[in-house]
Amino acid sequence: MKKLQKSTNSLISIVGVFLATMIFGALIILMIGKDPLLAYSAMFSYAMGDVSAIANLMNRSMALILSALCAAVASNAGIYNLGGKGQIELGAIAAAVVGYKLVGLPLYIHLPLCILAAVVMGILGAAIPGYMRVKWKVDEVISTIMLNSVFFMFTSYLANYPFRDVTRWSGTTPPILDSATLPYLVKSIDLRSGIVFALVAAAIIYWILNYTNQGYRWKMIGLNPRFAQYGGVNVGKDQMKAMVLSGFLSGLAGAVLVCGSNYRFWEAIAGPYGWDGVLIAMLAKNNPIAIVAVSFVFSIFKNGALGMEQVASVPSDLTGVLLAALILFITGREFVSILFRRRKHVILVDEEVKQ
Amino acid sequence: MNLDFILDVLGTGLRMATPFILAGLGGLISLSAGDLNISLEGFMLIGAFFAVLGSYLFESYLVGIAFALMATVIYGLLFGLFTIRLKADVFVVGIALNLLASEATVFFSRLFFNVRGSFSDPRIQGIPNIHIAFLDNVPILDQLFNNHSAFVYISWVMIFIFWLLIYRTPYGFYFRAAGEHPEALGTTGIQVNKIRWIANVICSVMCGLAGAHLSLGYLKMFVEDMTAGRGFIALSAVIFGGSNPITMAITSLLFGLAEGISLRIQNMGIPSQFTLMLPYLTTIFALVFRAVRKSRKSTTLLTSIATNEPETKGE
Repeated sequence: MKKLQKSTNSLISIVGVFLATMIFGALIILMIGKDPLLAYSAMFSYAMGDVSAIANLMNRSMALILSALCAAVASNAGIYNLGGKGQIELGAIAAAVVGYKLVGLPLYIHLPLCILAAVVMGILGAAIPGYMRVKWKVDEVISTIMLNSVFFMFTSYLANYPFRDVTRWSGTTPPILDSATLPYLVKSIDLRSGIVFALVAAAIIYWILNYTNQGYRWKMIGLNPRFAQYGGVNVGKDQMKAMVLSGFLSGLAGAVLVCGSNYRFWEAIAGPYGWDGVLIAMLAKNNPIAIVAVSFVFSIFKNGALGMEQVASVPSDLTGVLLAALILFITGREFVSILFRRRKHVILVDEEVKQ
Repeated sequence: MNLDFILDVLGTGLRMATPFILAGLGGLISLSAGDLNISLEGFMLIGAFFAVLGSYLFESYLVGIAFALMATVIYGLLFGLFTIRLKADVFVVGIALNLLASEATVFFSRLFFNVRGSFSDPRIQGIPNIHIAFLDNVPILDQLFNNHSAFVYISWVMIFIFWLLIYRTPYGFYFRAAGEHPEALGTTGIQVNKIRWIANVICSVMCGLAGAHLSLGYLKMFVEDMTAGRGFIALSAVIFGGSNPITMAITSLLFGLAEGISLRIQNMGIPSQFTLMLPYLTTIFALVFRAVRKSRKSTTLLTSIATNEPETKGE
């Protein structure tokens, strides 16, 4: 019961923050002399107006959800993976290369091979900083940020030199074969099946985190690694497992991007998904169900941007500004709620924040 | 591979290192005060945009620099508001501010200049190059050190100013104490948060200078996301070089050199990705090297337990 009340409270405050962001955006739109109501209605109708708009929303959300799950699984276990961007790129190029190089395989062998290649590369990309953290205590926040750039350069090299599509002007691999593409879920409205992967992954992660021993151990480590250690948990091993799962998810995101949506690799393919995923995971407090919801909100903003520009001639980049504002408002909201709590809670929250 | 080519690459390296040095000095202060600012990238981008805006509006590079500094300081106050006042996680705020900078500069450039991608205009006045007359007749030094943008020289002076600030004034001590043992600093009667605010403003100012140098130093234009990872390279230089401005600056010079080499060999058709990777790779290796050495030293049970600190607090 208490739990229910807590989650209603947090829902109310999320809605409040969302409204505050919309009002902030409306003020900006007013300042540049445009009509906010028109802009917003255009944004929402463009993003959710009809079936194909909804399908489009799903298509955009699939990689976002996977990328956010990748960040969430790791930080839930007290180890940060900010390297989703680089790992998704590694996974994507693996899927793309396997997808166009292996000729003559049937779909049911070729496609799983692509996904397998992507997942292996994603795991590799996450296991390196994970191993460095567990073995030598190298700060994984820094190493994953640095590896983002390393993997970006590496995949950019691969896409520009050995696996380059010579008919294109720069930085892409040739299109993958039909036998490597994910089939459509509903062809007529352009709904791709990647969203199924994302939702199933979210459900499985939710189950692992809440109903398994492993999930319990991760949560324990995330809350207090020393306590977990004294309680007999092998912190290093479990954190390594979390990183591997995290890398698995980012590899899957790469595969879904290439096989299910872009059909080839290009430089910085994970550009919009890597950091957004980290932010979504933080906003959703690593809860997979909330991640799905927040990802949809992100996608509504991003997909609706074009509508806002076409109908109300508000520059589409405003939505990016609004998303950043949303994140800042949410981080600020915690402070506001601290003010209303009792003193002993203040101390608790302070400690949480310090962590 | 003749001498001219080598000098050219070295000169380019010196030039390329400037934004790393400027932003790195700021990042170094913020790191030692305990808030690792991972949004150096965003701060530089804001600085770069407002430098162009100011220079375009008033046809003066000085106004451009003033605009850049004002904008980044306001941005820094925002960072401080969230991290110091509201005690939000520095990484969340850092990532959010990176995102905000990249989106807001595009939004503003469409609003003010009505363009996407890049903006250049004859009205934009760049920061002048400094011509040192007596170097004209010295063959090698002339090629290396002469005719750089003013900020290149300013950044070299800044290294020593920061060295003095950190090692010869009490503030250097306060910054480190605020990062490493805030409670201890608090008991001496110094307000920890005030020190953090000061560090934060210094960091913003330096990033503003770095940004102004990027957009007004050589190019005289603003390009969408023109920082292109330079903030992260500056961050690596800070982590690699530690809290000493001189080692940080040397690291920046090496990273600048790597970028200079990439630029040249790219023109020759050789893949530049691997040289561009070098700053990040060397930083990772340095982190591993340092960590391995440290873990050999301390093998007690307590320290071997994985701690849950999201940030490194200086060395």
